[in-house]
Amino acid sequence: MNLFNVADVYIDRIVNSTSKARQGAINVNEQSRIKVLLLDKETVSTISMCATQSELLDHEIFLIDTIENASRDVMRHLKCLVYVKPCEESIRCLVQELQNPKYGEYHIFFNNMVSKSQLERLAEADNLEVVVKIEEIFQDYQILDQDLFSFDLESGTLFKEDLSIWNASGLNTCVNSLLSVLLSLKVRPDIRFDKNSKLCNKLARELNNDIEKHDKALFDFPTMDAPPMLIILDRQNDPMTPLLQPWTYRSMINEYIGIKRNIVDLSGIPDIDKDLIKVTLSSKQDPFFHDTVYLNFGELGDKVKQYVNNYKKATKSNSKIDTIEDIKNFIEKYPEFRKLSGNVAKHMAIVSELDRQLKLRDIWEISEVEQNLSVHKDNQEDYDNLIKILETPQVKFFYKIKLACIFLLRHSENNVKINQLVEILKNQGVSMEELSLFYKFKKIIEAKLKRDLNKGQDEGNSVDNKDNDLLSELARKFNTRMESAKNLSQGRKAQNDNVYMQHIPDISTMLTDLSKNKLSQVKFGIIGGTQSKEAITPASVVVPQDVIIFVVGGVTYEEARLVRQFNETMKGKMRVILGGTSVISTSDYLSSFS
Amino acid sequence: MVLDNVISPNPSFTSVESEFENINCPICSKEFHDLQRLNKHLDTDHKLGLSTQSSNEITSQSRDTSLSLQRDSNEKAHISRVRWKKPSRNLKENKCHGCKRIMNKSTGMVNCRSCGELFCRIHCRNIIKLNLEADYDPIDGSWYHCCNECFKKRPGYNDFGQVNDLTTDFVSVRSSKNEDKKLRQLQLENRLIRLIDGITEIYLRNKDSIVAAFRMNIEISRFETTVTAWKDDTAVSRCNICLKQFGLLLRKHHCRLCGEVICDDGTTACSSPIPINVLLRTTQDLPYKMKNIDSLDLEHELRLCRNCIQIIFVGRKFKQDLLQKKALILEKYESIHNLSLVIDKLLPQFKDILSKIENGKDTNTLPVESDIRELTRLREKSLRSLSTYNNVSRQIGIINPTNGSEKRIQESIKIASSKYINEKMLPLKTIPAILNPLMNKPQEIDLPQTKKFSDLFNTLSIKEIKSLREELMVLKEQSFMIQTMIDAAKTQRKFDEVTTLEGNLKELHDRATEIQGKLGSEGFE
Repeated sequence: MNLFNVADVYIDRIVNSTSKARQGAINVNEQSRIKVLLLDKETVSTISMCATQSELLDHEIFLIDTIENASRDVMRHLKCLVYVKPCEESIRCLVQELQNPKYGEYHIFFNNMVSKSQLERLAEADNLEVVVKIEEIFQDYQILDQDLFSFDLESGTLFKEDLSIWNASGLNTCVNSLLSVLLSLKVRPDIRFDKNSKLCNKLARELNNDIEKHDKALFDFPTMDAPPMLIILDRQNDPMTPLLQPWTYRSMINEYIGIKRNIVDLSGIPDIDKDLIKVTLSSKQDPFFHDTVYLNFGELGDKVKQYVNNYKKATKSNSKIDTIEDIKNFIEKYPEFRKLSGNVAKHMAIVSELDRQLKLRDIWEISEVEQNLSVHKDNQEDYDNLIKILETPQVKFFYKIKLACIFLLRHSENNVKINQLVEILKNQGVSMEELSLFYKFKKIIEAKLKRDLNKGQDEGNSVDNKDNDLLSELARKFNTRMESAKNLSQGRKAQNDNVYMQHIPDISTMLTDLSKNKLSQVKFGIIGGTQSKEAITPASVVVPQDVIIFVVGGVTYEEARLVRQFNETMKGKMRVILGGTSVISTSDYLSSFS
Repeated sequence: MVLDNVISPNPSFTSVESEFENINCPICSKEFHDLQRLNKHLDTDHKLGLSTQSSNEITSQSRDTSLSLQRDSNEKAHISRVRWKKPSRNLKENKCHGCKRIMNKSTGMVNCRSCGELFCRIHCRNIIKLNLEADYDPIDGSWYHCCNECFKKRPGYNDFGQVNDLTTDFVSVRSSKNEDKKLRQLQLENRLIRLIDGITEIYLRNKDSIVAAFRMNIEISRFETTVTAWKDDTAVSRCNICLKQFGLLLRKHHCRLCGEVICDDGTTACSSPIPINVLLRTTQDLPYKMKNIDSLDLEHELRLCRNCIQIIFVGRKFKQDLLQKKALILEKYESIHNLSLVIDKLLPQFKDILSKIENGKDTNTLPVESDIRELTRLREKSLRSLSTYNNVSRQIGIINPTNGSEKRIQESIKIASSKYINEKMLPLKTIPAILNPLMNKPQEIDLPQTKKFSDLFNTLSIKEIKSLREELMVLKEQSFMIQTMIDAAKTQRKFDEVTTLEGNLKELHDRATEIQGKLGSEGFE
């Protein structure tokens, strides 16, 4: 269950595509070895996130273009590999291409299931019989890390009516992409879903229908003794996590600079080197990033320092070139050396930008209050600090509203204080439009809390056992470690506990329950999979070994960090992969309410 | 008592506990602080203590207070033990199959229920469903402990990347659709033959009389309608292809092949008049009576609709293109590729011998003379191939691309080939340094080129002669090509290009003379 391996298998399948010799007058030997790769909007990023250009060059793919580009040159001696999503636009382009083929033969790969009618349209268009291969492979999703995937779908397009109901097209896209995730990992899972969420309920049922529809043709995998599990969660059921300022490397990049499909746009940084305006960060290709993805800002500082020192040492030894031996060494190491220097510059630029943003936006102060609010209830000191931040003029309205939302999550019944906060916000000059965000959030969350409360009374005993929380234990250890690291590197805020990472996302408790086979039967419904035929009694359910967690409404990098830690702890026993409709930052999340 | 024989179907992972020094009951997940208490709990609450204790478990360590052993004694009454390894009497030899450490009381000693190897307790913690023959049975089996290897080996555990090949489906749909299309094409082609044959005949009959010219046109028009039944144009108000309304500005026309009514709008290109000698030339494969009418002064045009043009000509154009010569860049790339195959074959041989010599260095044995000679030979050969590779790739770099795609391919090849050269050159570069201190007679090795040609000649095998000849041929061909390029450049007055080209040409020449020298009388001139 390593998504990078999945990607490698598929890319390998595409670039090494061969076909039996074609019948007829055209001899395959007449064809050139050089290959063209045609992609569409979707697959361009799929490919670029998982393969480098030189990997493609190694396979003699010397020309890469998009299928939408109609002004490509005719080169009939080339072999063409097509990799597209089976969506209407790409099929239309492909039909046009086949009617008047620009290349000699076509190997077509789709990243998801193709419908019969689409296949017929292509067959109809292929008068010249240039297509020698058509294959479905299943990667209709973006791979962000070995255990993290995203569909990159905006919440706005997916849901309607206060984020509680699916858009028909959104649901369809989601089901299809999720099917491709399951197929690419070759699992036919038991589906567990959050019963309190209409979204999860609907998605689980639709997905199960589709799995049963393709039962024999595609989902015919060997039965496992411990059946794999898909857990569908709703973002709305843990609204706290995406509201808090994150403190680990990748999530901070996502929060303050923005990282989209592994591309970071640094053009906003003043006086940035023009080579660094757009940089790629991939934990697959960049070993430094791989090691630092989930480090917090303090640890990151140390790592970068160390990295820069290593680099300096390397430069120093390279700068004195006296003997022929030195030259030889230099030349041998040169490509790596150049790569290293590029990498150092890149990470230095990003980290210093993060630091600048933190100061610019007063994040240190805000985050402390946020964290305190999230873990303490009814604490007057926290409340006073909150008021202080709200009344600080230079703090952005966004953070003030967010703070009010966090307070609301914890104290939804305390109308007096909430009204007080709203008054302060108004006095600070927050416009009605911006405030409406808060009201929307309030409406949705309160409706949800009410539902939970009603359910809670029915269920009674479904209270989480917080004492047994494996990962909060882990997090505690981790935090003390962070504290010491930070004391060393920054000397700031020397307090007993790391105030910036007090909150632990709900997913952590769920993972722990899962590892103990105590996933609440009441909270999570079950559907489909191999056991669906018989009635499922709690005793017959085994600890799952392979788990895919999918968060409707977006996942955060902080949760991805917890999953990574869990995977490392459970190595050889359990494997968890996390994904979401998108990966969200605090502003993504809050703006999804507008 | 089911629970006696198998581990509970509801086990929890033990590693979790080891991290935090708490132990959970494998049956009810209740938490305990030490093993004794858990054991007691199992005995009393789950009645495990009552089962018969045939505790002749592995050697003298029986009655280890550990839980796992207790379970083992219960299991073995049922599950097959054929594969179980027996622990050695010499306690020092009992090493865990996973971590290789010596097992004792504190590490524990357990047979993996699946493969039967001996493991310490930590390395036999995964669980697996086995039947009574101790084979994996995901459906009817019961839970047993197993090692990580067996855990990973379960079918489907490390499987991923589902694919679904639709080629056969596609081809069958396509062939059923294309049958109809082929018939239609045949029909249209027949009509085309009849039209052209008929028109040339009418022309030949009338060409001598000037008066006849007018009559001839009428005759041709009449003839055209006999070949294809024209659609009644009074019933049609819109163009059959672009669906635009006909009117004063948009005139009706008939396609001479299908008879449909279409417009002549230049922007949509629904139909176009095509001279019949052009038609004839592009469809030379059809059985016309007269193959060549270019000599005739026949300027008649046939109006064809877009669909018919598509059906008759696009496929022909496609096939013709395929039969044409490849672009120069693509052709050159083939020779680069072939060279790289040669190099890829040489280098591993080279590395083998090199490592052989280096191993000899470690044991202070002098390398065998023949090995060194072979090494030198291989190195020289690879270097030669590489330099040819380099030459050809440089030639690709100076070709003028005919379109944007070629330009991009050219750039890609440049990157790929320079990467290739760098990669392959490295091991070759470092050799003299390794060889020098070893060699008492360095001249012989380091200056192979100055050796008498006759010496070299003696060592040439038939295969080498062949490869040298091939290289020579390639070189000659290349020098010829460059010569033509130089001439072209001269006529176009691009003199800076000429100088670089001439440099290349000289390189090629030098290399060719060298090879010729080596081949000596074996050369083919």
